[in-house]
Amino acid sequence: MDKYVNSEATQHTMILRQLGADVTVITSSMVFVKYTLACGVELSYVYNINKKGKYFLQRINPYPIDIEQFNDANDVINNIKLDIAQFENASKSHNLQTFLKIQQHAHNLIQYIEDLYLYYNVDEKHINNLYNDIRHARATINEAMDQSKRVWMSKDPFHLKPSPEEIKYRK
Amino acid sequence: MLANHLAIGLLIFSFTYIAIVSEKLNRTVIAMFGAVLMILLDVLSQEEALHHIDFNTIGLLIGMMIIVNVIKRTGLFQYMAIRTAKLAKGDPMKIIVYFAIITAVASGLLDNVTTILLVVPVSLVISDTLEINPVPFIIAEVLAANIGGAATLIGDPPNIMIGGATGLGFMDFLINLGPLMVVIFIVTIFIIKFIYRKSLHVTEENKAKIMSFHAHKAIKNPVLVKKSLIVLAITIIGFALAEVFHVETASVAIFGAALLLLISKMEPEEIIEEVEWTTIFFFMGLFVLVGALVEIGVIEIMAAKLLEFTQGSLNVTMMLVLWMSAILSAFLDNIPYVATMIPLVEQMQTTATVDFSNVWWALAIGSCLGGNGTLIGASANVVARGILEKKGQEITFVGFMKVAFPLMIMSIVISTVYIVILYL
Repeated sequence: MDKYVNSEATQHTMILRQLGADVTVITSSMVFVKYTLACGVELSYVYNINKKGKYFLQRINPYPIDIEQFNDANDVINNIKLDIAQFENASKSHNLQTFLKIQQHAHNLIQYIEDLYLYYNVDEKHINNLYNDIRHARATINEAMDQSKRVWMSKDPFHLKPSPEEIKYRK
Repeated sequence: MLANHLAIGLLIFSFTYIAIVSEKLNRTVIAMFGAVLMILLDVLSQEEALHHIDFNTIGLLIGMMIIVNVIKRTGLFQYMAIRTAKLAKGDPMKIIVYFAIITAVASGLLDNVTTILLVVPVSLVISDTLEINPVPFIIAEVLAANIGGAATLIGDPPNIMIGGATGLGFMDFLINLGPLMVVIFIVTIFIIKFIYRKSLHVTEENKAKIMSFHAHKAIKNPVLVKKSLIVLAITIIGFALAEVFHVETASVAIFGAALLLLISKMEPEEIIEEVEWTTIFFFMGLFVLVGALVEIGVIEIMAAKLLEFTQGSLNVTMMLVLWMSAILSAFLDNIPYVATMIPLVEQMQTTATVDFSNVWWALAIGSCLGGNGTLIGASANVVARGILEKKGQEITFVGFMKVAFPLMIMSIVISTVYIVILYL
């Protein structure tokens, strides 16, 4: 590691350890990946490879997704490839820009909710309203899924579970 | 020796030296490039070039770097910094003095660039917590590092190089230079205290923050701390006894490094990767460059001229070497300066009619302490400035020099008195 980077790490770890945190400094390589879709939307990723063979992948643009850990470099590459292919496919839809806006708003919502509970003492009425609104949004997503044509078949979604009708239809 | 070899050799050396000193290009790349040009243009052969590389110096540097790379992962210096800051009860002036003492002692055992890399970051955390200007801390630590490093064979690259060339051992340096450096350190610290006595004010609230630090939290691996300290102690004892057992210092250092890698169970690749290979290649390049000057007879000519100028007088030579080394080392990197001076003094020693062996002490003192004169005088100074700049803080060249140059001159005056009393 560069001596000045090392010096920065020493300062940070000292402060964080005094806070009581368990800090581990790992020597690793950080890889940035950028890909521009035909429609002009930029996808960008960052992944981290360390000597213990763990890979941590995160998409940054057009909106961030959770960090995923992989044990295999091929899994990282395949995930990026799949992501690019799916976005290329999705970009054929005239709704892509609207979806990207929705995603950005959803991402912002998460941050607003975090600010709300970190900065304010919110009463139960508002918490319940928020929770119900989110459940309603979830129901809207499920309804949209049930009433829409499936366009990506090679694998199932990570998070959205297909409805019993769809499973029945595929059988 | 063909006249064109002399001209080519001088030309390559001059341009390389100027490029190194100008700091416009990476010094390692320049040194390597100059060295290989010497070989390709037949100023010296590859075999001669390899012969001029002091592998004892190289081995010593690598060995100690490996040991330090393990030690720095233990959090030991952070632990010492917090304990010291709490001992001083957050008083900034006491912290400066205590940190300077730690830096000087550490610098005597580890090389001073490494010591600065260990001490300065933790000083910045302490000064940030106290909400005071870190510059007095850094200046005191840089001066302490160069002074402490001058006291031992392994503390400063010029001493390592002189030891490698002459066979002077760890105890030789400690006995001849240790007492002098203790005196210079004490005087320097007193003056630093006087200079900054009115400029460091800390609130009780910030002092309390320091007192709330827990030193034990800095240690991630207590077992590794013990292993590292034991191996460091074995290595230092090894240096002290190296002459008795007719073992080269590089072998002692590599033994310590290998032993620590074995018992620490750390990933060796990670540790060895962090050896300052640019510094190692810089040294190797320099040795070849200066070796080329030796081969083409330039050093012999310069030595003869110097002996003529001093009329072979040991008194005049020691004073000239001391003061010239100090002033030049303040403005030029002391490593290439010493690399050039070593064969010069060796040549003078062979042709002089009196015993010139004490001239080495003048060279060691002048080149090590001279590094305190300006921000560019020693690698430790440059590194400290770099760390500070990353924090958005600055020590200006003039700002440093205003404090450090007079202190350096004072240290050379003390050294002059010391040399006159002990050696002349």
